[in-house]
This record gives sequence, C-alpha cells and structure tokens, in this order.
Amino acid sequence: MKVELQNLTKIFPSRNKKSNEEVVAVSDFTFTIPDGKLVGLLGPSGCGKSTTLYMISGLQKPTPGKIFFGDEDVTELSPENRGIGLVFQNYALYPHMTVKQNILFPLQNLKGADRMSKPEMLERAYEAAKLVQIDGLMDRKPSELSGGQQQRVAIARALVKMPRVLLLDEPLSNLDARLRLQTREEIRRIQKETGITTIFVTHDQEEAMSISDIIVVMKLGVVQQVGKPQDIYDDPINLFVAKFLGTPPINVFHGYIKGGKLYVGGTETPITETVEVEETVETENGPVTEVKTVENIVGYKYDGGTAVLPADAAIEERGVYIGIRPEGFELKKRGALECKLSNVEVMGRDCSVVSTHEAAESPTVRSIIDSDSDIDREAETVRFALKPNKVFAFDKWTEERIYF
Amino acid sequence: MADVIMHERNIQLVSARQRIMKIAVLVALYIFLIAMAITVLFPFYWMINSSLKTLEEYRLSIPTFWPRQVMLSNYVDAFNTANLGRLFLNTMYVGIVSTLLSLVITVLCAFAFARLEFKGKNTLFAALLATMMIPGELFTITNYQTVNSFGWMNTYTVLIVPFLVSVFYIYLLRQNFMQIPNELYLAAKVDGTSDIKYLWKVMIPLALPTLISITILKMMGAWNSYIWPRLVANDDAHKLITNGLRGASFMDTTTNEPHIPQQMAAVALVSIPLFLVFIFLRKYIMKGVSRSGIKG
Amino acid sequence: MVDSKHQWKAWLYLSPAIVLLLIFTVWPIINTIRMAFLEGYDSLSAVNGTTFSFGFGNFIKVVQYKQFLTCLKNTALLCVTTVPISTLLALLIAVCLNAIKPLQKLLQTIFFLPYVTNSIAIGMVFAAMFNIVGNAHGTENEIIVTAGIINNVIEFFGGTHINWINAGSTYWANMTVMIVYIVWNALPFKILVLLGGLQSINKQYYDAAKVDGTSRRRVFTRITVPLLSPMLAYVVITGFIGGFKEYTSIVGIFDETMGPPDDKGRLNTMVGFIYDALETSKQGRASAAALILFGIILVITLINLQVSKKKVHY
Repeated sequence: MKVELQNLTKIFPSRNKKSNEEVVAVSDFTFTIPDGKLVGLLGPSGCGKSTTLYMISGLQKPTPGKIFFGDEDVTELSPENRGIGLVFQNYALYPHMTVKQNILFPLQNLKGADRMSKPEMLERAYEAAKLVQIDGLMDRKPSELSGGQQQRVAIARALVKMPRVLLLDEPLSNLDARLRLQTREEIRRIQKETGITTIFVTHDQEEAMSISDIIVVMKLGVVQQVGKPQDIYDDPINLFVAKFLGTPPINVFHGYIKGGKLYVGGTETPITETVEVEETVETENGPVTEVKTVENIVGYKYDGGTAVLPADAAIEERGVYIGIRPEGFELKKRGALECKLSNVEVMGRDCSVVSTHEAAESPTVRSIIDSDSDIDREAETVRFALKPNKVFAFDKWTEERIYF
Repeated sequence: MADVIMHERNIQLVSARQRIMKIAVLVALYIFLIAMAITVLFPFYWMINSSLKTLEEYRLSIPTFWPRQVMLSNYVDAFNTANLGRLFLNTMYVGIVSTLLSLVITVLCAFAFARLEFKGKNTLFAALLATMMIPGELFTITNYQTVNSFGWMNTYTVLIVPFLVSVFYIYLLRQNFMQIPNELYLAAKVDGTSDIKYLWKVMIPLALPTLISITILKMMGAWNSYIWPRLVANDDAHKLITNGLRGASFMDTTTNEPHIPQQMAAVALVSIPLFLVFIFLRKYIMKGVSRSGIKG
Repeated sequence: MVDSKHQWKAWLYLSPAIVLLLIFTVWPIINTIRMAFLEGYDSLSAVNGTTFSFGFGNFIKVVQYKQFLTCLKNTALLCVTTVPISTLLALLIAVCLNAIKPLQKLLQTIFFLPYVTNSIAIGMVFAAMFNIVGNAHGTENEIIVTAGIINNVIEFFGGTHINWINAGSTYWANMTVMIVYIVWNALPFKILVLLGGLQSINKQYYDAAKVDGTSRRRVFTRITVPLLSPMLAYVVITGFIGGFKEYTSIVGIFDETMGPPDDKGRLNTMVGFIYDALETSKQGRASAAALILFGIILVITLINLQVSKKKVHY
C-alpha cells in the first residue's frame, strides 16, 4: 500500500495557559512512500518523527495536512478504520493475557463481514507467531518473556490482522546491543516476507541505515532529506544531515572557499566600511535627529589556511564548514592536511588514526585507514591527502551544502 | 499477504459515523456523570433547603424547592435546643488534645521503627500490624470494663486515652520516614545532633504532608465518633457532637410534632465545619484516605 | 549502627505506645477470648465473686438467639447487596470520569463529598427525605398530610407513595432505604481508589486497543477491568469488612431503636447485637458474638483473597 503524506503538519497548543506559544511538532511534510518499502524516520528526540508516525496511525490528527493510503484519503479516519498495525516503543502487551490471547485480541475485535471463525483466528494467530518465531511461547505471559521475545509478540499482534501499513515506534530502543542487531535483521526479513509497507521511527542512525529502503532525516519538525541510506550518506544536503549520519561521525573543520580552492583553517578578518547613519533620539525637547558613524561588516578577508582541494572558481569567496568522512583521509607523505598525531587505534581490519587540528570543531580528528598502511606511531605529525568524494563544504551561515 | 480486512467502503460515511459516535458517547458520559453528581449532591441541597423552611412550609404536600420565607432563626433555635455550643467545645477539646498526644506517640514510635535497631523489632512491628485485622468491637467490650474500673466514666480522659495509638498511622508514618535517606541521620550523628533535634529539624518537616493527613483524619474521627462516646461519656458535660445531635429531640411545641427544619439546621451546623476542612485541605484528605480505607 | 545506647532509647520511644497497646489492645484480646469461653459470664456477678466454668455455652446461646440470627441476616443482606452495587456504580463513575477532560476535577470533588460527612448526621437527612411527614407518629386512621420528598418524586412520576421507614413500614422498604444510604456513603472511597487505579494504567494499552478497533465494551471488560483488578479486589475486601461492621448508618436513619417505631430492633446488626449485650452486662455473650464477627470477617477476607488470587492480575 502506497502511503502519501500531503503538507502534514502538527501544531500542539501551548501547555502553559498563560503564554500562547504553540509548538510545531511537524511542519509541512510532503512525501510519498512507495508500496512495500521499509522506511525509517530518523532524527534526534523532539524532531517530530514519533508525531508523524502517530498521525499516520490515526492516534493523532494532523493540523492541517492530508494522509492517503493508496487513493483513499484516511485523514479523518480513526485508527481502527485505517487498517494499520502499530508496535509501541514499550510494546504495550496486555500483561494479563497470554501471548496467544494477545495475538488473538485484534482478530476478536473484528465485526461483521470481517469476523472469522475460531479455528480461522487460531490459524492466523499461529501463522503470525510462526513468522516471528514465537510459536513455542504461546501460553506464556508477557512478564515471562525476554525483551526480544516481547518485541516479537508485539510485532505478531500488529501483523495478525494483515495491516495495510505496519508502523513501529523505536522498535529496538528497549533491547540490549546484541539483541538489537539480531532483531533489526528480523524486522527486515519479516518486512520482505510480508511485503507490507513499513514505517519505523528511530533516533539511531545505524539502525535506520542498516535496514531501511528509504530514510527520512528530520530536525525540529522539518524534513531535512529523504533518500536511500547510501545516497544520503554520500551526498548530505546540509551540515546537520552530514553530522547525524555515520559512525564514527564526520570530522568538521572551519575553512573557506576562495579563488577556486578549498582551504582548511586560516583566519578571517572582517572587512568594514564606515557609514554615517541618521538616528532619531527622543529628548526632553522632542525628537532630535543625530548623525552617527557606524562600522558595517561588508565581507571577510581570509588568510593563512591550507588549500586541500580544488573548488569551482565561480563560487563566491566565503567561510565554510568542511566535513570530511573518516574514510576520506589517505596517509600521504606530502598530503596537504597536516595534523598532530595523538593516537593510533588498531581495530583489526582497519585502524583509526586519532589526531588534532586547530581548525577542527571537535577536539580530535578521527580517520580510518587500512591497517597495513605504514604509520610512524612515534611521529609528531601526520599528513593526509583527502578523497574529494568524501569531503563536503557547507555555508557557514545557512549550513547548506556548497557543491564544488 | 493481501489486504483482506479493508473492504470496499465509503470513506465519507465511515468518518461521519465515527464522528457522530464520538459525540454521542461524550454526551452520554456527561449526562450520566451529571445525573449521578446531582443524586450525590441532592441530600445536601435538601438539608439546606429544609433547614430554612418554616414547619408549615416543610409539611406542604407539593414541596417547595426554595423556601418562601428564609428562616435563619431555625439555626439559632437548633443551636440552643441541641446545646450545640457545648458539644462543639467538647468535641474540639477532645479532638485537639487527642490529636496532639497521638502525633507525639506516633512520631516517636515511627522513628524507632524506621531508624533505630533493637532486638525483636520486626516481630514487634508484625504483631502491631496483625492487630489491624481485628474489628474494634472486640476491644470495646473489655475496654468498657477497664475504663469503668479506672473510674474514668464520663470524663474527657475516657474519650482521649484509649484511642491514642493507631497502628495504621504508625505504619503510614514509618513508611514515610523510611523514604528519608539514612545518610541524613548518620550525618546528624557525626555532628553530634540529638535524636530529638534531628527528628524535629529533619524528619518532621520532610514528613509534614503525612502528619497533616493524620491530623485531619484524627480530627474528623473525633467529630464523627459515636459508638464509644455514647457508651462511656453520655453526660451533658462530656457529650460529643455526633452523639449530642442524634440524641437531641427537635419538637414543635404547638403541634408536638418533630421539627424537621430545626433538625436539618442542626445537621447542617454539624456538617459545615467538615465541608470547610474538606475545601481547604482536600489534597491531604484524599491522599490520606486513598491509602487507608478507614472512615474518620 | 547497632549499639547498646540505641536499644534502651528505642524502647523509651516505644514505651507510651506499648503501654497503651497493652492496656487497650492486647489485654482486650486476651480478656475477650477468656470471657467468651466462660459460661454465662457477666461482670456484675464476677465482681461479687461468682466463678464461671469453662465451656462453649456463650457461643451456643448466641447462635440460638433469634435476635442474633436476625442481626446476622441483616448484616449479611446489607453486605451482599451494597458491596456489589456500590462497587459497580463506583467503577462505572470512575471509568466515565477518567474518559472526560472538562469538569473532571469538579465532578471528582463532588463525588468525594459524601465521604467528609458525619454518617449519623446525613442519615438524619436521608430519614427526613424518606419520611412520611404527617404520619411520623400517626395512627392507622390518620390522614397522611404529605409525603417526604422521595415519595413526592414517586408520586410526580405517577407512582403511589411508599411507607419507607415509619410505623407500619415493611422490612423490604426499610432495607431499600438502608441500601440506598449505604451505597451513597460507600461510593466516594471506592471512586477515589478506582480512579487512582485507572489513572495509573499505561495509556498505551488503550492506544493499542484503539488501533485494533476494540469496541468500548471489550476495552472495558478485557483491558480496564483486568488491569484494575487489584484495586477492585481492594475495594471489595474493605467493602465487606466495613459492611460486616455496619451500625452507625442504621442509627443515623432509625435512631437507637434500630427499626421503625413499631418493630424495634428489626434492622439490628452484628455490631448492634454486641453493644446490646454489653449494655445489659452480658459480657460473655458479647465476647462470643465479637469473636464470631471476627471469624466471619476473617473467613470472608480469606475467601476474597483466594478468589482474587485466581482472578486478579498483579
């Protein structure tokens, strides 16, 4: 089932009665989720991803905006009329019912033409349980299950009535690291097997990247970028997206673009002009106009950075953030970027060179290189050449990507 | 898997039906709740309404829902007839003295159980809790003989002393004291603070809400107690308010009929202090009650 | 932290409570059991030096008493009617209250109001409401001048007035009044506890049910009630314990006579029976009755706990 969001917006009225400040949880989200895909809504907490999920489920109503399942406008429909399955963050399994009763519960709610006979229901429940491999635990209570098993029961309960869309709210956040890895593959497998359009919410970029067909990166209610995980990683649209995706995270440097070159570091000196401004001041004798001289910043002069890569000469001279992925560094005796070496961590297949650079935003610069490359651990400095496709420049003010 | 469940349907119709259902349910909820609230409130309204009527108006066969002639004099008469002034004073005296003494005993006891270590502590505490199971009537029989042999009949002592210790309040306060970190007590010991000073400066301020709940419930208990006072202090000098109210006879001198408006005025006078306490201390009462289940 | 200094200090702090408990709690337990098993014990003869032999005579006498059987029947009847009625009604009100937003606080306060009343005082108001005004002391032939407000309402809706509590009233009319009053009195505590329980149920269970299109009825029976079962068990158990100790609400409506003027003692209860025996100095009999009451409460509570162990989800 194709899911279409049109200008989806959610404004919460202010909680404080005195101030009229509204909270915009989701702002103008337009997006079409193709049929049968696994989509991850990704962002830090408070970015509106869960609100979006709840609006798709029908538990919350958009203010304004429309939601279509296929060609059907479901905006006004309550959850039960939408044909969705929802897995809650802490599963919301009914503690007083057995696994079997929990899974049967949605089927027993069906009325009229949808109503099934008892054997049919049981068959469906076992089918769903088998799909998530918990058919051996049917008579246990949720409290007798591990976190991972509870998660599976919750998924089985959501799948049993064969929803048109499956929604998962932070499905892995309550699991320990090992189970998380296992369960995310499980979710991928189940989604593939059933072919149900699935949307899940997460704050963990690795989780989103590893299993999604499409990810949607959100920040403060606004969609930043939508695309295949690899495409977003390789081509982030702004500094936020670049920083949010990837482990270890991208290294950010202060720098600038000038005369067809990308510089790391250097100093910027403001260029000012003196202008005379008329200003009206209230005095005892009424308003009086005074003339003042004011220093205005009209631009910056950059000086002293290291040129690391060529850039489009047509780009106006300006300050930038330079993001370099850890794998974008290459050890080169004559490399352009010189860093102070602080540590080398060997991690088997590759090793991680930890160094410092005065223009870096973070205290350390982490680069990943092949472990068989030759590093002098005793050296004070290390020199890197950069791979152009792993280096991104972002405008210093708007933080938008500059293509060069 | 295909979409088996969603059949062909008219979206407008489904969402309209959904909205109507929602409103209908909400309207039904409010109608039910308001009707129940009126039922609950009606006796209070009827008490006030009747207390302000003349006896003639009260006896009309089509009742009036607001008195034609507001008889505030009923309140004055009721106050005098039932000797309410004396009853108020008696009850306040017993209530205040027994609350204060009871608080001291309860605080000391709860402190010992919560903070001090001594042999047999857990056994003693369990034994105390076990006595809560026994209905009070079982104690009354012997206590009646005991106070009689002490020569306490028709005194304030008999109304105050036998009920000073409430196992439930000790339990409540001990639980509250236990939540206060033990480190505070040890720190006080290191500084050479005495137990009593520590109790007064640290424990009591931190457990204040519970102490307030206990105070209110204890005062309400004195106000509402009936069985024991009637048994042991039935003379005019020591009678408590509930007993006095039940025992007072409100007669119309001319018809020799019960003067219900006057009686209702007396009931209102007895009820009003409770309502005032409730309005101002609602939070503490509801908190105390939800943990106890004991009336008064 | 254990040192000898604390030992005596602890006992010092405990001493006032322990002394009072020994006199007014521990001794009564021992003495009540003693008196119950001394044949025909009464304190007046005891003072004069009469000795009593040990035996079950008090218990046998008590159970053979017609008056005791009436009291037991009344008490049991009030329990089995008022506990289910008030619990169901309180559950319904609590669930409805939990479902609304505007007016919730106000209504909650109103529903708690009967709790902070004096059950004797408000009993007198109920008596006035159910009274037949002109016939309070009347004879058979006296014309009823007017009926009380409840009868007025019944007549307004085309019914005929009922003699609820006056001379000549029937047992069932009396009982109805008592049930109405006790339920009215029992609601606040139950609503408070149940609403507190409802508000602590995780809202996600209801969201999950909503997604699955669960009907309101099923949400109530399959989710709300099971998750509320510990609270329900609590109000039912305390309700039964309170019900078996019912006394003052009857005094409130019928005064000390425990029944309409022409049939005194008709509505007497277990506790009433104990006090009657006490006032006539029949301590042996009173003690036996008190132990029987204790036994009944214990058994009922154990049954309740046993049932809830199977049904209650903790």
